[in-house]
Amino acid sequence: MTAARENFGRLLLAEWTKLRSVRRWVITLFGVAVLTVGISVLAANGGSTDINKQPNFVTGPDGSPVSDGMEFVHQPIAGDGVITVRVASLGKPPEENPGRGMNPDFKSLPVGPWGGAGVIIKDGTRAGSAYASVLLTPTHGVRMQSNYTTDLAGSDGGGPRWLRLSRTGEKIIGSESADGTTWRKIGELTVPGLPRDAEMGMFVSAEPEMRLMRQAGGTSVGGHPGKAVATFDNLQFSAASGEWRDDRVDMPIPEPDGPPVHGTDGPQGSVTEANGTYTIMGGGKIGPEVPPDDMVQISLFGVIAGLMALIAISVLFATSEYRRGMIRTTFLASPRRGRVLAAKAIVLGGVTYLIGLAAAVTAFLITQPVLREHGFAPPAFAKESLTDPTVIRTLLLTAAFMAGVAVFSLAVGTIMRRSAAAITTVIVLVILPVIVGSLLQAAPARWLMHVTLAGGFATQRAKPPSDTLVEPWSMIGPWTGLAVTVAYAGAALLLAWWLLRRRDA
Amino acid sequence: MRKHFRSTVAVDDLTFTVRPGEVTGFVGPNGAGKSTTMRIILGLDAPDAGDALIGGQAYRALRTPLLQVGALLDASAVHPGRKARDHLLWLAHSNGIPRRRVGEVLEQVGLASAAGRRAGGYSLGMQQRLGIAAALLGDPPVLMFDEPVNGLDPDGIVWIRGLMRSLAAEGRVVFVSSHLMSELQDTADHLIVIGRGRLIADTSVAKLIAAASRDRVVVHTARRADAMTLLANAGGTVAATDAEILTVEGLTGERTAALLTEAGLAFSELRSHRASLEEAYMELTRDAVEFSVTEEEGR
Repeated sequence: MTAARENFGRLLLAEWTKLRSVRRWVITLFGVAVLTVGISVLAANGGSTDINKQPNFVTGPDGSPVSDGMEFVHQPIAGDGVITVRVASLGKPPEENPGRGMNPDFKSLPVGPWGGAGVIIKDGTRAGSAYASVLLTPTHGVRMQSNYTTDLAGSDGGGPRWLRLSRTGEKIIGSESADGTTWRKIGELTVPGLPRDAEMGMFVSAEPEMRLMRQAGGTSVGGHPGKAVATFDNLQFSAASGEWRDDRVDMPIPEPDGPPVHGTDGPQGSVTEANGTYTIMGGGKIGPEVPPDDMVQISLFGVIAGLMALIAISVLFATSEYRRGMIRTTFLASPRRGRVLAAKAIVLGGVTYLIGLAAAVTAFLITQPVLREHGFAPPAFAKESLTDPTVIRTLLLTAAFMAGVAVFSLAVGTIMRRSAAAITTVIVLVILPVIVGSLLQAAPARWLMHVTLAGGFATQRAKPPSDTLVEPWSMIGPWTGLAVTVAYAGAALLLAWWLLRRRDA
Repeated sequence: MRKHFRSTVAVDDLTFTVRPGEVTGFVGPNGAGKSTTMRIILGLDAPDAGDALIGGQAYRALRTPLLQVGALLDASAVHPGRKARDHLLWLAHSNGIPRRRVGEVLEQVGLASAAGRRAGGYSLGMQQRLGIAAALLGDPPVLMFDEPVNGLDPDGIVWIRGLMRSLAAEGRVVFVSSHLMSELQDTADHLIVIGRGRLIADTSVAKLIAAASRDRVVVHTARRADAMTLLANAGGTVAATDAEILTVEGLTGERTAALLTEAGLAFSELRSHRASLEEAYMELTRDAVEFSVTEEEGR
């Protein structure tokens, strides 16, 4: 066993010696890194955004971009208090012209859990202030939320539903009930930034209805403000001090020059009360508003260029053995062919992994300051740091994707034994799905990314999958992308191994 | 063993043994199956039936094959962009051969001064020497050379003959193939002759010449008919090969000359002809030439 391991170690050393002793290959490997970094820097210099100058967001309690908007019926509260209410119904108001002006090619995007009807405690009525809420949503059941990012799931299903929010000291507890007698706790939170003197009451919000069209070379996102109407009854408030006040929490409308003003063309809200039943109509999303653009992905734009050189060198590492019958010398030295293939794959995979990682880290470090200069800066874009686990994951997975493509190319080279044909095949397999995927609608494009090597580009994503970007691979997660790459490399290696054993050298 | 490529049988029912301490020549016309046989011995091609063993083991079962068998198959099988030293270095690494052997074998084949040059710039003869260096790298007891003389200049040919003889003298198995018997005439002790994938002879060089060669005497004489009668009566086999030329077998040159002189038959020339290894080989393989002219015409 140890002898076998020692034998394999010698094979690795032999293959490493082969790889490093052809000067053209060493130059090409270096070129992989230069292309990756160079094209990434070019792309970073070419792109810019004005999202911080004309924001579609407000700044949340932790400085991140958020959306805030609701019809808020409230009373002041100092210190502890409990509010209980039954949401008797939640629905859409009758609309005069649904989806007006919408192109039928647009596909509706799914609505998230960030809008509904419920009870809330909030630091005043300013958009972006700290809050905690318990709400019934149209499609995601009962939730307990706070400060635009915390989202705890309660029970599924719709109304009517009893909701309760209580504050004791720093502690805020959300509960729900189907009948008003049996209560179930959803969660217990402390909310940073929520002062002793706050406003507590009922609210109605609704996420905008977003629609997406993917077409050749681009995506179009359209939407119109969402609106919901809800009825509340059995209202009990421990700190009731007088009349309920109605306010609209609204997003500022960006003005190209000058300070943002609060608009009037947002969703019109209203409150009516009859015999203790409140009917509230309102709109607005209360949740995160992170732009889908991914700064880490942008800084790795050059990977696709580096891959071209990587594919060439990886194919040549295999096919050069078949020029001039080199493979016979190789098999004379190591007659067990499967082990030769394994040693080649490990050496090439390891070397390209390290080169890919070095290139990705370098590209990241050089492009991040450039991107910040070009507008990709806080608050819309959090400052990305090399110590952030998500960034580390992205860089490691990107290197793994490059190594995976290298091993796949090696296997294809072994199978086809012809440099030009093998290089063309691999490049087509990597690039064609990117082109085709950016022409397709979301569903087939997402499917394409699941079954082709181009899905591996998803390893460059630091943010969650999004359908709204041009890059088709942004629709799948990074681990899915890596899994696709590994599956391709593994299957090609198996076929190469099987052929190597069967064929005469 | 037996091996076929599609419908062509390359090697058919071939069995032989090669022994240490002598140079064994492996000869046969082009296409006779020499290279295929060597590739099967070296585990590169798989035989359809039978097996080839080296010291009782199949090549593919060897863990450090370069320490047991050194082979030169195709001298150009080197990456043109790789330096000779690096080519030998990866081979050495693959079998755990110490790095110093690289310098030693380069010295031995006379390439020490060119070790740092890329193999793509080598002449055919230098490539051949590099291939031989690779075969010698593991100091193996068995050496196999496929057409080692190809591309060598006369100096190189003399060198490689000497090398093969000295390797055999060290007690190694030296198995060398050629399609030209003349290349092996002064080098090989033992010969294995094949044609169309079949074994024709497995014998020593001396025995092959003796068995195949028929000494003959060529006589030029104006009195052909008289001479024929005389020599036939004396026990010779006489053939008239030209107007004034007779070819006599079964009589030595001296005896022929004495008989003719005694009978007073004048002759202008008398030559005693001794068969070469080449002729013996030609005779052996006459029926086994894969692509002979007559055969092509006959189809």
